[in-house]
Amino acid sequence: MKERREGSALIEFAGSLIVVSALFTGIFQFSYALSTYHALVNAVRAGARYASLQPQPSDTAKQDFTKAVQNVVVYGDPAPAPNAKPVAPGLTIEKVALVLDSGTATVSVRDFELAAIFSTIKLDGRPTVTFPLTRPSPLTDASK
Amino acid sequence: MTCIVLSILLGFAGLGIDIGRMYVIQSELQAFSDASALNAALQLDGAEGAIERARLAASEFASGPHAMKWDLGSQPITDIKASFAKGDAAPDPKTWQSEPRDSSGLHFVRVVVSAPAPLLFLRALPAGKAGFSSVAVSSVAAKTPGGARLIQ
Repeated sequence: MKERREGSALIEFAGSLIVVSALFTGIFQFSYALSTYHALVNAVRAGARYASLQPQPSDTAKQDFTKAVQNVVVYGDPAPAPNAKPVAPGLTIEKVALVLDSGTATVSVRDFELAAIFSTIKLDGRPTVTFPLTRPSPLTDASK
Repeated sequence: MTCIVLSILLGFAGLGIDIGRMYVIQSELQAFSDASALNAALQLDGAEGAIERARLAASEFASGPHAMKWDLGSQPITDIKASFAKGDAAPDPKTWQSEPRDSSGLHFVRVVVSAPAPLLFLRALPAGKAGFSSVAVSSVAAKTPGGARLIQ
């Protein structure tokens, strides 16, 4: 009789272990995705804010300006140290897009795969943050 | 016993997910309200129609090709309220108005954005019966000679 009870307890444990493991893995995956997305929103916001506070770049300085904004998003610093770590695993400056358009700076994440445990979530164009350029226009190339 | 313990564990895990989602939504709305407040403040030049321009500017980033959205970038932001105040270094709390008649002397704008954050697990509790929880954020920006700056 005692052996039978132990056997059924073992089967119960095994059954519930499978269900509990699946549930908690799912919860972990969802929470990890949320946490990474939260980090991305804050990083993209910081990049857009950085862009909005800088003088508008001239045509020749646009490339450096874009790279500085991308660095702020990915590393939190316009000139990061060589061993700097990105705010989200797998995020590189190529995956950060900056659009300067009629007095606004739009920063977004492009073609980024948020790696969870069972699947990847593709983020293309989100998060997107747009800030108005709050600094006056700089010298143009011709006026230098 | 297993059922009781599992229910409690899942309850706490669900609580974490719902609250985590609310934090993400709050961040998205905060980024939007900061940008909107700055954009609206840039219009406060004291000229005729400045208030109407500022109001339009406050909702400018909610639509268009570069629209900012909430709930993991999936929902458009619709509930946007702007109010305006006078003041020198800081807004005079007594002068906040949502429909000012005259734009002269108004240098500060406050943008309040809210959205109904959907609840997955907390709706099991009495407080979450509605299925959503309202998340609201605000930003205050000031017009400056060089452009605009965020105050709060």
